[in-house]
Amino acid sequence: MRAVVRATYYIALRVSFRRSKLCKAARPPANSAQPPIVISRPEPPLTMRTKTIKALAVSLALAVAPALAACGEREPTSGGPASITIGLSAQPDALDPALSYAPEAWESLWLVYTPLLTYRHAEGEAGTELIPGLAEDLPTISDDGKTYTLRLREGLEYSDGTPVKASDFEHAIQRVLNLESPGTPFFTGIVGAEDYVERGKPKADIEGIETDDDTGEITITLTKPDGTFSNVLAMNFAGLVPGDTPFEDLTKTPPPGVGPYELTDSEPNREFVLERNDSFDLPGIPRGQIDRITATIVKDPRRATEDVISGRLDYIVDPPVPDQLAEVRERYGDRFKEFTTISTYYFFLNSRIEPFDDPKVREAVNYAIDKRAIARLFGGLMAPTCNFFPPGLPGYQRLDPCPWGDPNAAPDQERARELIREAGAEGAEVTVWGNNEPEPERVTEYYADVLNQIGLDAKPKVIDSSVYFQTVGNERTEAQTGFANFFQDFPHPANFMTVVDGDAIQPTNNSNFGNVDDPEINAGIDRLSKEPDLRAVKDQWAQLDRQLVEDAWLAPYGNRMLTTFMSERMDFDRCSLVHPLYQNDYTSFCLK
Amino acid sequence: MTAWTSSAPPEALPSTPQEVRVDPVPPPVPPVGVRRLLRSRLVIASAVALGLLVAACIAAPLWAAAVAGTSPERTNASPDDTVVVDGEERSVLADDGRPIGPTWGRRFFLGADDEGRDVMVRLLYGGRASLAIGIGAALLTALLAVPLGLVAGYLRGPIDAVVTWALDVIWAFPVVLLGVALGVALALGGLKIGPIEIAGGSRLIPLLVIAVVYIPYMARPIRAQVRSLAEREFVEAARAQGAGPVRIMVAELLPNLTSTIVALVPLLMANAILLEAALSFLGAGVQPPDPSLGTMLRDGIERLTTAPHATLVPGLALVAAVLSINLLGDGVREALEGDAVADGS
Repeated sequence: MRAVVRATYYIALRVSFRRSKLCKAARPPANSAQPPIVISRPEPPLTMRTKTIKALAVSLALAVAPALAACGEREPTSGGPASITIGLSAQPDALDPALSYAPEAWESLWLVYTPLLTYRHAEGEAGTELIPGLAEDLPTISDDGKTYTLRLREGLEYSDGTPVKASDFEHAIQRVLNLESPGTPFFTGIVGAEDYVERGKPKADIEGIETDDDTGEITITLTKPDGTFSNVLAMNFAGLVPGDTPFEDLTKTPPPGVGPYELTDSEPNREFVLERNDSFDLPGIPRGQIDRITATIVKDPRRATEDVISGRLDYIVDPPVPDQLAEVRERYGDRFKEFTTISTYYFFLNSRIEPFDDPKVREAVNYAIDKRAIARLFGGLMAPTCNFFPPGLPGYQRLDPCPWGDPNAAPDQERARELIREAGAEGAEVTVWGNNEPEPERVTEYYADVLNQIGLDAKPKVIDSSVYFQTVGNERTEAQTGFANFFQDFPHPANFMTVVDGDAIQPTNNSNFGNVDDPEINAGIDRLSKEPDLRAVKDQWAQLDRQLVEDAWLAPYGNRMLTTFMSERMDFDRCSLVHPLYQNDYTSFCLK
Repeated sequence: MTAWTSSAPPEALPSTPQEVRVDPVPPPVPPVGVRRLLRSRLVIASAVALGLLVAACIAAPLWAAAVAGTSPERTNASPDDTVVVDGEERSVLADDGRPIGPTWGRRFFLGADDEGRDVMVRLLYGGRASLAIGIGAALLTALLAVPLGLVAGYLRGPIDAVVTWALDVIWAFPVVLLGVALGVALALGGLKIGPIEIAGGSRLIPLLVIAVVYIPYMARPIRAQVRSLAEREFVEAARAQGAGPVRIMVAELLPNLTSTIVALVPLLMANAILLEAALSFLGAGVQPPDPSLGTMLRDGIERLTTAPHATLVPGLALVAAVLSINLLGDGVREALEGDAVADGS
């Protein structure tokens, strides 16, 4: 199947190449206002040779006529195979569903490895709705909230034709746990999962997962109720792969999956290829419209943007650099848009270390930061906010009025200075941590300047982004305050609360950088996380968000905005769906 | 080329059957070299340019406080941060973060950078940091390289082997690569050698890193010259007088290395300033928010087309500083060669 698709593609490429040559030859000069001069000659007598030549010419004309008719377009609008090239600024962390934990990889992988559950391919809140993926229906959850039962759809096949079995689910989870994937913590709540990790034997059984290949039934038992587990089942980590998939990083040879696309080629640090899986047909999940998507690594973001402008790339995952952003907004607004992601950018304030152990100092920070200024430091790609929960996350309720002032208005620095004086923290030495990515570095320097203006003695410390979060998440670093951000793993407030959960504080790899440890908030997280019906407790989650902000445990300032920028031949208006979790949905892409 | 001198006057030498020839003590003023130096317009121009640069950098706090009314770290990113240009109030940063260009006024004379900081103020402070690190690193290199070259070149044997091997190891690494490796490692954890402790963000870190990576570039020529000098008669004479190795190295050899050192130090200064800029550009030199010509280039690079002033200003300053030091160094070297010619060497 794969070979046929590839052969078709190469034929298409050749036809496309020839067509472009023919188009150039057939086009009149751009400034040819005069009609062409036609000189009529008497028809020469037909000889055998001229007959043959004429016949060939007619055949050729018939063959190229459709191509000539389509002059000016690089790809057909319908009918023939369509291929596009997209640009990524770096090689994704992995192209293996068990291992990848990077948004740029998830954008592709969720179309290749459909889990038992998935999300509706829609924009906004509709896109956060869980729908059955490879499972027939949403899970049946036992009364105690610990047992999830699902049934696999019948007749499913992987892209290579291998039948999908219920036991493949356990194999997929075994791979996550055995390969020490960053997804491991999401599945350690399954009964026996921690034992499985400790034993280190790939083929060992995970006690809490029961599967029946005959009936397709899958039963998962948890150690305690977890209202987010349906979302966990919809993560890419739980994407099904065949039961004989090796226990190793398969980035170079990605395993087959069930999805609108299949990964057919992968050359790390160069490119990977998604080809449409023609055998894919699942209700609620659209099939791809583009036949072949080549994802190329273009490390220079400036060049990547230029390539989209010139048409060498059809889409880029990362936003244009600030230098080009204004030009792109002004000149290519018809194929460029900005959207707000479900993310929160904030300054962590370490409540265990002076001076941020004093609530007044934390309040002062919240009063002092100018969120409009930070939006400018992000080139305008930051939406100021007061909440910790981002808009679009279930449980978000806009804090209005914001206890620290309107996020779109000037800050109250005088009040901040007063609070610092009241706390006796004037001149307190503060190291402000940040990483060396352009925007975080700018924000870190700005934040240190603000702290100095309100009476502290702050100095920024900018370190390499590759070690930043491990460094500030190590208790020995004693990071006082600094840059932090969080992008959702899945659309559930409990996911966001992991970075402020006092029960999740650990000495190393701590994601609760500010050591937020409020017993009320901890109890709230614990209680609400068990509730499987999120809608029923949305208001209570919103109350926790309010409490977090009002007690100034951290200083949220914005929600990151990203962009969609496409080449001229892409049908931007009809085919550029932005999903709230996976960003740009490639199944929506199409050519004009 | 070099003015061979001896600290011991000829009459103080012991009488021996074989007369040891000792060069006469040079006259106190080398008029040929100085005249040549003063006659070169290029040298005068470069000296004036360098002097102006240094003076401007020294006056940085004066400009910041009395003229611009800001500090090099002060950001102006808010929509409320405005400046009046030609009677019109304009934001220092536009909504999309684009900084204002040169106003040619007291505030933002050379425009703002991507955080709304005053480029003129940062240029003066940054130039000060770059010059201080460049000159400091070159002098420290000389301070470390000259004794190493002397010891290795004069004592030879195992000491020479060890020193040469160590120099070869440093030399084996590309300068920028070694500088980045050391700079990144030390910028995070700082440096602690016995009682000496330097914090990670200190400007002494890039100074030390640059000084260390350039040691072979000075120590090896010094060593080679010492090996040659050590065979000369005046060294033999000193040895015959009973002078020990230390005395010979300090009193006999070192004065004869002066012209080499004077010729190499300006070259090292220019290279050190460039290396500082490179390291800071790559995040391994001066640490933010402190300005240097390298960090300014780094800050401006994202806005190369929409706000070129943020890159052009430190870039031109870097060219001016390095060019003036190089031209001055060339002039001094030629003057010293003139001295040598006048001395008949």
